[in-house]
Order: sequence, then C-alpha cells, then structure tokens
Amino acid sequence: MALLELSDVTKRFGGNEVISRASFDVREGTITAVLGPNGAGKTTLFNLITGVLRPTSGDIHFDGQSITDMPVPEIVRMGVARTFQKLRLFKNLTAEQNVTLSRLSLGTVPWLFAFIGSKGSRQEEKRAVEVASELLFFVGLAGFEQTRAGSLAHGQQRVLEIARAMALNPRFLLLDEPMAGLNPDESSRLAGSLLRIRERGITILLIEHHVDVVMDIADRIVVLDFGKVIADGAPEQIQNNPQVIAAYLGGKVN
Amino acid sequence: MTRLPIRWRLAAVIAVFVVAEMVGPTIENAYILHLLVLTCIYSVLVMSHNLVTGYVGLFHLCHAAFFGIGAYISALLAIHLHLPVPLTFILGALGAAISGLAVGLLSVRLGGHYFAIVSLGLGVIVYQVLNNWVALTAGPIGLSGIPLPPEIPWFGSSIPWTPHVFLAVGLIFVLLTYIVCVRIQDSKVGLIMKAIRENELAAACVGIRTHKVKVAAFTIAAFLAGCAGGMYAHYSRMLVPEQYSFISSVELVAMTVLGGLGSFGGSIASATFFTIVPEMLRVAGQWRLEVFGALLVIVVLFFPRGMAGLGALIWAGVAWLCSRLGAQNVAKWGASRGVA
Repeated sequence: MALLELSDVTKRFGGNEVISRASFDVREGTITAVLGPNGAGKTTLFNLITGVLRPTSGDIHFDGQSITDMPVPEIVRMGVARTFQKLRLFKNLTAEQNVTLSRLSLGTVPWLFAFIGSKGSRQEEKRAVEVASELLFFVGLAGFEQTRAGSLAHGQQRVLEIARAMALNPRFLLLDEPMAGLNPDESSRLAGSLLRIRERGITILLIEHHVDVVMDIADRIVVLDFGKVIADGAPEQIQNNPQVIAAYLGGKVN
Repeated sequence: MTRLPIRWRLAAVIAVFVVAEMVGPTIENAYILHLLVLTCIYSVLVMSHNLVTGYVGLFHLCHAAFFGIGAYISALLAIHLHLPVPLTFILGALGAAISGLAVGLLSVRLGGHYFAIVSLGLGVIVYQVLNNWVALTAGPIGLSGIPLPPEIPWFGSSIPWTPHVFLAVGLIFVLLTYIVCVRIQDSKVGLIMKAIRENELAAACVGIRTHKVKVAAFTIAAFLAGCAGGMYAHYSRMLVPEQYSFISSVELVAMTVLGGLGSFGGSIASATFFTIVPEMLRVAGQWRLEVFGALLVIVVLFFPRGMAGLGALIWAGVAWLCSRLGAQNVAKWGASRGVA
C-alpha cells in the first residue's frame, strides 16, 4: 500500500521550475532512494513533502490524507519525520535534550501541569529521557548524552539528527544525505542502522549520493533530473537505464 | 543539569529574599528606599523581557509600551472609575497581556529584523497616544493624582502604603516573577522555547507549534510587564509618557543583554546595576552618564554573556576552591554551573 503519494507536483521559484509534474509513490515498509545530479530538486522535494514549502500545483497525500497545505508541525504529528542535509541541530542544547525535545513537543501533558511540575509531567520527562538514551545508544552516541550538540564531531551530529527524528516515533522517515561527510566505515555502519530502522516497520525515503550504498539497501529508486522524474524502479532496472546514465554522465539518449 | 542545583538556586534566592525583607524596614534614607523600589519594578520588567528575547529569541523594541499600557490602564481606571486598586492593577496587567497577544500574532507573520522594526513602530504608536491624547492621559504634563492602594488590614488595625511597604511588596513581586520564570525555564516549556531560539525550522520539524509558543511567550511577558507598570503607577502616583518611549525600550534591551540572555538572576543583577550605579556615579558630576556608558562597554567587551557570565566565572572559582578543599561533590556542581 502506498504510504506517500505525489501526484503532478510542481514547484516554481519565479520563472524557474524546480520540480515539474513529479508523480511517484512510496510503499509502506520500504526504503526508497531519490537519486539525481546536484540541482535536480531533491531537497526541494523533501521540503514540499514536509510542508516547509508549498507546491505551486499538484497534490501530496500521506496515508490517504492530503497534506499539501498542512503546516509543518501538523505533518510531523501525522508521523512524518526528517533530517537535514545542512545540519539543523539545537546546537547549544545537549545531545540528550535534542532528542528528548521531540518527545516532549508531542507530549500530552498540558503546559500548565508541566509548569507546576505535576506528577504526570515528571513521568513524561523521565520517559523522554529513557527513550533518548535508548536512541542515542542505537545510533552509537551512548556516553555523549550531556555533550553540547554543537561540540560533537560531524559524523556524530549526522546520526544525532537521525536519533532526534526517530524520537518522534515516525511512520515515515525522510533522510537528506545522511552519509554526507561520513567515512566509508561510518557509512556502512549507518547503512546497517537504516536496515534495522526498516525492520521496525518505518518507511524510509532517502536522498544519497553514495550510489553503491543505495544499490545495496534501497528497495526502490526514483531518479530526478532537472525536476523531472526520469526513472522509477528496482535498483537493477535503474542501473541499466540509459536515461539515468545519460543524466549522470552527460551522454546522448538514442 | 541535575535537579539538585535548581533547588539550591531557589533556596539561595529565597534566602536573599528573606534577608532583603528584613533589611528593608531598617533603611531610613528615603532616596535609597526609592531606588530599591525602582530596582524591584525594573527587575520584574527585565525578567519578563528576557523571557521573550533570551528564550524564544524574539528581538523586539516595544517592551516599555507594555509597561506603559499596564501603568496607564490601572491609573486611569482608579482615577476616573474609582475602581479599587487591586482590581485596576489586574485589569492593567490583562490589558498589557492582550496587547502582547496582538504583538505576538504579528511576530508569527514577520521574521527577525522585520519584526524588530514593526515592534519599534508599535512602541512609538503607544508613546504617541500617551503623549498626545491629552484629554485622557494629560499628555506630556503627566497624569497625577493616582490613588494609593487601599490600606492592608492587619489584625484589627491597618497598614498604610509607605515606601517601606512598597519595598516589601515589590520584593515579593520579584520573587514571584523569578519563580515563574525559573519554572518555565526548567520545565519542558523552557526547553521548547530554547529550541525555537536555536533553530526555528528544526523546532517546527520536531512537531513544535512554533506560532503558538511565540504568542504564548509574548502574552506572559506582556502580562508581567503590565504588573510592573501597575505597581509603578500606584507607587510613583504620577505618570509621564516619556518613561514609555522608544528609548526606554532600548534601555530594557541593554539591561537584558547586560544581565545575560536567558539568565533571570542576571536580569535582577542588571536591573539593580542600572538603577543604582548611575546614582553612585553622581560623584563624577556632569560626566556621570558618560562614565556609565563606558562601564557598559567594558562589561559587554569582557563579559559577552553579561552578568550571568560573570556569575559563571565566580562559580568556576568557587568550584576550583572547593576541589582544593576536597569537597568534590560541591566542586562538580559548581563546575557544571560555571559551564552552563
């Protein structure tokens, strides 16, 4: 079943069409990768799905419901979480606080009760810290709970963003170049983590330039070029697609 | 940070409060007493300003307007409608809160510098209304004849509102505001506000309804500023629009930054500094304000985190001393304060 459905989504900035009539869907429980040369519109696509940008035309459905005009926090509350290519951590907060925040922002304890420090709010905070330490362990940041996020190494900051997104308990996770700036060792470890995230039943949409990793872990690949979907299929199909080779290598299409 | 230091910090503040309440009645110099009451009022004002600027990270230039709205509403209702002062005080604070709500709604539409400029405009509008609606506010001549609050009943007799009583009540106000601010800081509300300050888009992407948080913060801050205004009105019993001008808002920004963004203890220290030090500098004669300005520059240059940074330095020193004396636990705590 399709968890996410894009139909004829177009985004224009002034006269510049960044995404043109993109249509594809993402099936539940899969890892789908978005490939494309620089400037193909991949990050714009993520911004459209998460509500950061509004499409000029077209429709985006999540779990059968239109999210085209929904504000960002409401889309998050439907179970859509993301990371950023250009990291956007809460730099002056600790690693633990970065992750607990996701829990607390979705928490059900009203502010007034949190303010007076009611029993429920203390339990909520305690639970959030537990979840945070589990997730920090999961991404390999155990022991860094009290470190200021901005002081972590680049690779650690990347996985902290993933932990923060995971704390939202998402059904759908969008990862924007999670392996950028990681060494081969870190990348392959992260690839393993992504497979384990899929095992938890979380659907993943992934932008990634490490083509070899993508071929290994993706169930399906969508290729963008100049804002258009030029190919969509299983990794083996994509590898031999002449249009894809042309987009990457600049060859001619017969 | 662990829970313990927060309790200790509260305990320390309450201890200071009790000492201040005991010392207050023994002060005989009327001028010093006046300065201390003003310090209380400004402490409330700077803490409320810090809540928006230091926490949610919304830089605005109309906080003095909330102060003025609270003061004038309370004064006018007491003068013309003869309503009892505690009621006018609350209505004044609510009036300020409503204007805070409106400004907060604007902040949702406008980002960063644009919002700062719009808030500047709003502050000027409030000042112009106070200054030019002579029929209502008496304009630049000033609104006088503001009644005192009713005497406080006390075991059959009653206590009149002397400056000593104003100081005692003012200190209670400072303590209450401090507790409110620190509770916000320590609960998830404060963490959510900090997230918006750190990175607004990321905050929205972890499900924080950033618009609502901003509006709520503005409303709470304006309410507290309105309280400070009401207190000022019935203490001084004379209001002049000049006090609520753009310059006053800028002064509040200076006080907040000097105290340390996000540090409420720093806000109190800074309000005290701003009220007392210019008076101590009277020995410098006509150069008084120039010397004060130079002092400000020095503080900002050497302590970019304001007085809170200075406090952190002192804590680090205490921690070092304690570690030398073998009190490891206290040292660890002090070090965490020094870093935080």
